[in-house]
Amino acid sequence: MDILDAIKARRSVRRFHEERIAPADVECLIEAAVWAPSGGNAQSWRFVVVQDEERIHRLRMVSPGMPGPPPCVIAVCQDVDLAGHFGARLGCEKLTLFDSAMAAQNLLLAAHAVGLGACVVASFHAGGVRDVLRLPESIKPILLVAVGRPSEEPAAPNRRREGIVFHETYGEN
Amino acid sequence: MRPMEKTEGLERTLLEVVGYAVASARMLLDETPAYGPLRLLEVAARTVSAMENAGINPAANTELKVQIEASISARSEGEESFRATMDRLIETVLRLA
Repeated sequence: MDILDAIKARRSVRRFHEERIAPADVECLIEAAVWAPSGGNAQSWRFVVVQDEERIHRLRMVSPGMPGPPPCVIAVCQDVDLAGHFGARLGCEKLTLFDSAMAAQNLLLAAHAVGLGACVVASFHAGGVRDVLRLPESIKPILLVAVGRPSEEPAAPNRRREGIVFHETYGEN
Repeated sequence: MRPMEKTEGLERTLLEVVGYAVASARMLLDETPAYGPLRLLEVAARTVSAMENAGINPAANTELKVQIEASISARSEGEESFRATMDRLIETVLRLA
């Protein structure tokens, strides 16, 4: 699959079939995620793959943005102690967010490439997710990614191009 | 499903709805108010699912589910469409109540 085609054809999928994701596909998504850029090469991301129905129910309780129910949720977390060790304040406050977002994007594209749908969820109660996933104090949940076989085909939303790109200085076309 | 199992299932699902409603209320303090209607529609959808699983008013549930889904989808079509589908949903709920 051509990378530009994949980028343009990917959608945020919010409705899924119930069937579980094949272990090879889960591995493919994680492999794609860990090849994302990482500030200072900290690789302080941590991923929790959740496929237990009961646990997903509990995650959905504390995650208003969670669609579904999805058969799989991948929590993209950060080891903030490690991020701080590698990147000091910049690492803790910013690189953890950038790295997680880039890893999540890789994960979304990999999901699309293997015929799965996915949706990034930022609306969740961090304390609730920490409790459900039994995350240690130093592990911070950054994003949740709902994954499954799509039961919907969302239309492509418009992408605005006017007024967003300038050359050399802001305001110059 | 035996009556006891049905009650336990309903209790669990309703607790999930309560959890979702409370988490939504908390998260909306930090989110755009525009998410409010969607969260409430999701609460409605989950409540209807709970009713469906418990065998309560099955004929009505299908109609409600379709219209709630339509309302959620209408949000991406613009505010006017979002309002109109929710107005129709209210009429349906009143007719079924």
